[in-house]
Amino acid sequence: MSSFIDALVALLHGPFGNHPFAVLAWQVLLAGAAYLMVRLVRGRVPRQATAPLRLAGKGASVVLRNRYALLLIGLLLPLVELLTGGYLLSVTYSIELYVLLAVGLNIVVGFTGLLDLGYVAFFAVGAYVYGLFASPQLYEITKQTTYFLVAQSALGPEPGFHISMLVLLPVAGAAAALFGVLIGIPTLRLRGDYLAIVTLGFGEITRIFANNLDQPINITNGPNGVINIDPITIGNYSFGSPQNHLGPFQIPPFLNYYYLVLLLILLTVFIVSRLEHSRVGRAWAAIREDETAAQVAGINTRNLKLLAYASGGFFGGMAGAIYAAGQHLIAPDSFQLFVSILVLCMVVAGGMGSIPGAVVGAIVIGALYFFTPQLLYLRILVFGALLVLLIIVRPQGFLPSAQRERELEETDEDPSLVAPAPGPAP
Amino acid sequence: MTPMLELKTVRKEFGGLVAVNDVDLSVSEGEIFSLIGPNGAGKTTVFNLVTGLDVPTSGTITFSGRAIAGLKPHVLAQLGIARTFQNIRLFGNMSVLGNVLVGRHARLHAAYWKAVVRTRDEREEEKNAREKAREYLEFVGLRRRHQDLANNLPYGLQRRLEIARALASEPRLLLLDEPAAGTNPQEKAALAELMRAIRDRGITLFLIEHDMKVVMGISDRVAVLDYGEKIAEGVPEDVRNNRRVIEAYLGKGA
Repeated sequence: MSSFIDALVALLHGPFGNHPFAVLAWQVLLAGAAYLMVRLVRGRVPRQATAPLRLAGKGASVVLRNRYALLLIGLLLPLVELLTGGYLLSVTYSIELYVLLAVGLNIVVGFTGLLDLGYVAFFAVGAYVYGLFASPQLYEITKQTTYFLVAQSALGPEPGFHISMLVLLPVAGAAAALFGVLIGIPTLRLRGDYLAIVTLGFGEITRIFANNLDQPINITNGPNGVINIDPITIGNYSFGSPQNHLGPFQIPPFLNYYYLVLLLILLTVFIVSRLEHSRVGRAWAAIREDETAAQVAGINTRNLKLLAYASGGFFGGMAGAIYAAGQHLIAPDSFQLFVSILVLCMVVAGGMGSIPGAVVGAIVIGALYFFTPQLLYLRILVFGALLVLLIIVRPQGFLPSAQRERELEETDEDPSLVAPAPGPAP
Repeated sequence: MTPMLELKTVRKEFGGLVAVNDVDLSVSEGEIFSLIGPNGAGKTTVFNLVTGLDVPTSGTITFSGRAIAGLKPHVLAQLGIARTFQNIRLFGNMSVLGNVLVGRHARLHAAYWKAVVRTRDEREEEKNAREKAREYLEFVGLRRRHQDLANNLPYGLQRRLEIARALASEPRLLLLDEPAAGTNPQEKAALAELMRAIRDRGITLFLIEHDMKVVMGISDRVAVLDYGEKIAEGVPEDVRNNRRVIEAYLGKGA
């Protein structure tokens, strides 16, 4: 009997280690597998068996659909996590960056229907813009090329550029947006699979470019990456310093970055949802649904597709800049194709074309991914299996866009539209 | 009367195939002009040339005295040309109202950043656009279905929604590609009524239609294409009795 219990405990504990989230992730996997088994064996799942599951799902959906509840969780979560040590917080911060990326990619893939497999390029461009202009990396170049033009004192007491994040954040975003337009122009005529392959190529080109740009002039420092990147500093407050205190409490660096990114997410979601419910968002949706009909309806599809790339790139670039500041170092290896795929999975899992979906998709997929490092490469396999399961069970994603548009909200008060139609329909 | 739309020796070749062979056509302001012909005669290609989806190999197309061959579709929409498609092309996963609002796009001018800030003029314009959109839905008889997904409408109403979407851009010239295809006799009669009502709003109609009852009933003038060539043009009675037209439809010796 006791050996049975031991086996059961071992089964529930799972192979991913002792971390509570690792155990939880395993149990989610287990539950999913069990669910699928039951479905396969019985053909149909008994209602009683799934009642708790459905209740939990409903509860989660209510909480997740309420933006204030989400915000409250976002605000309080790191404080809870501080009690368990810094590791959880650093992972949560990574997930946050992915939320930003997912919301950005959702513009391109979800709203406009352009399958972009090279989104990591925008992240990389933003990261390198900050990395190069807020580190000693460009010291040699500036010394050689601008020595006669710029007095060394203009470059500050430390070698290289050290421009503030306040300046570089929008610059990084704009650089990535410009990059989006540059990638967008040659791919305007491509649709579907062809677009996916070309954007995938551009993503890889960007990474390899950064990898090789240490010759003939050392700009990116090649595979070794840019090191000693400045932490964000506002006034005398350094985000990267472990010496910050609030009363008796020490503020770890990741907490600073966490709240900064949270602020950025709020701003991004605000801007993107305003765009979604305007003529721009309608035009994007029209391009997604039928590009030819959209053109004939008066939409300049070229400009609006480029605007989608630029907007997606802008938010991806800002995420990259903050990533570079938080990590202190960036290397081409951080910008693998897998990042693009992971973000795309988040958008698809959350529900294409839905902003809350992108946020929740990034949180769920990100948590499953980052809290299971013990799985090593196996986690990509498990991850794939989970996505297949998701597509079988819930193809529309966690929170599909509720087909409620701004124009519909305002017709609710009009009683003549709600009343039953008198006489025969036309 | 000066023609609103004029095609002069317009030719379109796809590889070796001559889809439109040096065709001259002119549509006058305020009339209902129909283009008929057997399948594959090049009628839809003519529409694609006029709406900018295809560029003519040679020849000129003028709209209100302005050369328009080769202009982009969205520019032509702004100039006042709208169309529907033979195979209905709606934005299926958008609401009925959303479809008409997209049709309104060419008449909205607020800069994109204003949508983020929601400036007073942007809100005003959006409100205005929704009112107009509802007007057009009312006009085609779809007002009560405005919240439905376009995909969920029955076929006949999808045709009407496509017309409403085209009307929303406030065109001066409306091209309808087989609007009566697949509809029953009652719907055809209602459609003819709708087309007259559109004409009465001052919109010129350029029509492709296979249903002779509809064509002969409402057209002011009719042109016939066969193998890319115009074989007849004139008032419905003349065209009906034209020898070449009868041959094209029924074969020689008929």
